[in-house]
Amino acid sequence: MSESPHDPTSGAPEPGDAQDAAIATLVRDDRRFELLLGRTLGIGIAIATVLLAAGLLWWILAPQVYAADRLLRAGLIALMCVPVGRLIVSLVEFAAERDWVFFAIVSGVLSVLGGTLWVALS
Amino acid sequence: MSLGLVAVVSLVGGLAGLIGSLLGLGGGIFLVPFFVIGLGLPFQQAAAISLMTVIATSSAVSAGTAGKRLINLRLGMVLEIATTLGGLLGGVTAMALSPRTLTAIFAATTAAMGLVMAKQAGAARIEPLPPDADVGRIGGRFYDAEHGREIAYRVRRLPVGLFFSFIAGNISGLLGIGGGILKTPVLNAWCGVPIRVAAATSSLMIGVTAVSTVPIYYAEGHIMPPIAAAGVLGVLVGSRAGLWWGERAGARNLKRLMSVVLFAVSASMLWRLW
Repeated sequence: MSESPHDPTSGAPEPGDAQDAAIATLVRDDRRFELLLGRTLGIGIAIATVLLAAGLLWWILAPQVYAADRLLRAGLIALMCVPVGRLIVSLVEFAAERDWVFFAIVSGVLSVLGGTLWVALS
Repeated sequence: MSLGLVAVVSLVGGLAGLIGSLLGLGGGIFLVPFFVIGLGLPFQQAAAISLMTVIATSSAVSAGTAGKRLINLRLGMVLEIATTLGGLLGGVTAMALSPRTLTAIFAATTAAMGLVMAKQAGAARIEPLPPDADVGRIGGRFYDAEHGREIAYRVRRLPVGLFFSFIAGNISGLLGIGGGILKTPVLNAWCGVPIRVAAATSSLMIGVTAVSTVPIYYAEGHIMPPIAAAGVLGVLVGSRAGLWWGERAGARNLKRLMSVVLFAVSASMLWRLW
């Protein structure tokens, strides 16, 4: 069994092994990052859905109630924050990886969204 | 605003989400004409509600595909600079244009997309690099389940990708649709990104793109909360059902049908102008 050239436990490493291992690490890291962002989006969408559903139910039962409108608006704003949350998690991740190029890129996207907010509020 | 209206909007949202996910489009391309023609809403209100549903489907779909390594996160974030700039500009422009002009732009855009779709032969074949190739910072690798192998690819012509991402963001902000219908073929055919990766990455991007526009609509009072909530909830349920159904029926890449649908949408908007 130990004769197999691709058996990682066998004697001297093949020249390609180090590179394979490096790729495997990269792939695993990317997958972890992807899952982290996926979870962020999933949790965000769950919160927004609950707020919107509760608000809509309240509004159906009592359309004139101020609280129903508040709840609906909270749900809509929560929904708008979901992709922003994903960007902020990415920003933290890139900072942790010391990947300053992508830190700058995500900061750029967030600045454009800041510009949108500025236009909306003015 | 009546209870009946909310019920109709959630049903139509469900239907748009279902058809959209079966055809690989967002629901927005159906929702906007329905709101404008069917319910007689002003164009900006229709676009605003549609954009809220775009955020919801983008987030839900990306949460579902995460971990399959189909989303190229780094490429997505680079292109998001362009889509959000386009979206911001589109939102500002949409506030200044008349509903009539916007309806005309919508009709012209969907007709053009239908034309492109009819001409397209299908997904471009990407010649995969050797598995250990250097894919650069924004290239990627993914496991192609269809062919049972690892595919490595490099992103080519990034400026072209950036330019079309800006245009897609602009159209998204102006018309209230996602814009994936424009980005996905460009990323595939010109930038060398495998079609499934291009679609998944575009799905991720349209959420952020919509956020670069929607606060402007919201602040201008174009969003009626109960209707927007009904649309969002309907689309979420519908697109989930569509994904489930599509996986069973294998209904994918129906380019010809998509093209017909786009022409129908365009014609209905033109009819509205008359």
